[in-house]
Amino acid sequence: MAAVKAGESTTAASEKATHGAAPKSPGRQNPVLRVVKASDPLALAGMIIILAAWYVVTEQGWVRPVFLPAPEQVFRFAEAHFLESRLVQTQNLGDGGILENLIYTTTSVWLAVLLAIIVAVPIGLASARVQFLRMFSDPSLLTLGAVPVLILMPFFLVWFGVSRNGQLLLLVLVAVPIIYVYAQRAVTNLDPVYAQSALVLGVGRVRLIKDVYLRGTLPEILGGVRIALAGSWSIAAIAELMGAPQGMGRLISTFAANTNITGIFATILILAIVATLTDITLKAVFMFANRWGSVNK
Amino acid sequence: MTAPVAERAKEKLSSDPAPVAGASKAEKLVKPKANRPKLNSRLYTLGSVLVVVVLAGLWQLVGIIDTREVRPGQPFFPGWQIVLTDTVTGLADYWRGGLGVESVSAGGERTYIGGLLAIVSHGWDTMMRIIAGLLIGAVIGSLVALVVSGSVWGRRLFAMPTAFLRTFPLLGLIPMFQLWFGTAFAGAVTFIAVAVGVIFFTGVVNAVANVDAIYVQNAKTLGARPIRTYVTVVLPSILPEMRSTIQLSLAMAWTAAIASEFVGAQSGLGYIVTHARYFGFVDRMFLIGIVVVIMASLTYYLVSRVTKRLVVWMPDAQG
Repeated sequence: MAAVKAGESTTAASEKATHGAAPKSPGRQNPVLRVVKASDPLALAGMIIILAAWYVVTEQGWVRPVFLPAPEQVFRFAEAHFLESRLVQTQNLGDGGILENLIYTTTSVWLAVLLAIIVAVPIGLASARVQFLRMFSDPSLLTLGAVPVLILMPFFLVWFGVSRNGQLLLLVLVAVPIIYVYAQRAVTNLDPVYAQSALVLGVGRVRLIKDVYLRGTLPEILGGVRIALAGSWSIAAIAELMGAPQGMGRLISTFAANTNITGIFATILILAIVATLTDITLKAVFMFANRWGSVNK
Repeated sequence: MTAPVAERAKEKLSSDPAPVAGASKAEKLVKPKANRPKLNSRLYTLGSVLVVVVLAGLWQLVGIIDTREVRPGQPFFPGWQIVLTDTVTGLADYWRGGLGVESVSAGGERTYIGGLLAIVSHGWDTMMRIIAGLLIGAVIGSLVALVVSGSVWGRRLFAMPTAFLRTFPLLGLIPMFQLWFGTAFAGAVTFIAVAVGVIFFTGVVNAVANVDAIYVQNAKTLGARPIRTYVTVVLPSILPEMRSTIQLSLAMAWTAAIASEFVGAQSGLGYIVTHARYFGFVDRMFLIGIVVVIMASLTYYLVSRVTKRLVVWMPDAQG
């Protein structure tokens, strides 16, 4: 298998060499355009089929609305309460509507992942080279990645009270081990041949780090960030459910207290859509960073 | 900018991998460390022990420095002298009686035996939920994914719903599951099963999509029918990738179990933590937290030992 892959890559490389001068190599394209081109119209059909099934099941009365509200009901609820909602305001969840809570949760998730990147990437990159660091970072961070960090949330609620801090800390602790592992792996997986060839061509230390190591590890690190982000939305929701000043999770818990099923569905679907959009954006960034193609994903 | 240059140079170099003479300062960054992908297991053990000792010491230190109390007699950061004595006997409150040890609510004494029995019985409840949820979710999730991935059309149709499911904030749906299935065993298990099932579904769909086309083409060239190709070629080749799916789903099962016990369930380790939080017993939360960390690490270790067999046939398997 390895031999086959190697053969493939050399043919691809030689192809690149012959067409290298062409002005429109795929790497130069707009990343958004590339994602759009790579997406499949049939995929949209799959989404429509699921929506249609949801519609039929509720329309025909096969499932009671208490269990599954109709799609148009959910849509109408989301529309009515999105920008401004008395229902949201009377529950002390801000002066706006669902949007304000959506911004709160999204800010938490993005901020936490950003903090996790700042913490985890340097440690991960360095640990691949410095054994003394790795003998401490591996046991602590790999264990952190294997245990349910959610168990810490009640502690944060006691120590920090109902604030954003506890939620942020929890999200950072969930994201750090994932990004750490990917950053570490990015260094060990980087083919030494890149660095060697750059050296043959006479680059200095600074350019070696900037153009080979940074560029070479970025795609895999971004892959890790994507995975960390995908999981963060769930953790943010449950953390807010347990106690937060506002946010989508708080919204769900108040709707649940009033058995407002439509409200719960509207809230979770809006959050899911934002999560998916974030993921798609990050995928575009990933493809842009990986336009030279070291990671095949 | 340098990438294409490096690409071309890589071709040249790969035919002649002999080391270049005249090592520069920069080259030292590359060469000697290239063959060190794994950590020495002895260093790992030493590091683990040191980390645990330092963390345990830090906890004690914080408890000594910060003497605030949640309510009189209940410190914010209870030291080990409390956690290993009064906390254990205090947990006897959660023992429901039996085995010759009377429950505290029925007038029994708070004993170490009672506390340990409480930990074991609630830990058992959590564990059973996790095992049941894992099994149900893994089987259903994989089966659905295999059916969907059976044809190229199915794969294409379900690509977007799968991507949507991957980021879906499922943990936020716990209240729904409790409305649908109640807060007892069934509700928790269904929730864990769905959470695990989603991971297995997306994992299997991805793994099937990633199967090297050359395997399938080879089987087809040799005249294998589609179903036979699927069973004898595709299924075995997704197993290595399933290892990370299994590990991921185990972590998810733990999180989902704890989450469902935080919000509604009437037994289990997460239930004790929530109950203790309402009364400001940080020490009880702490001890149960440690029990959860130990149990989760053990299950993770066991599963990773068992699933190592899945990747045995891979030429460059990464343990």
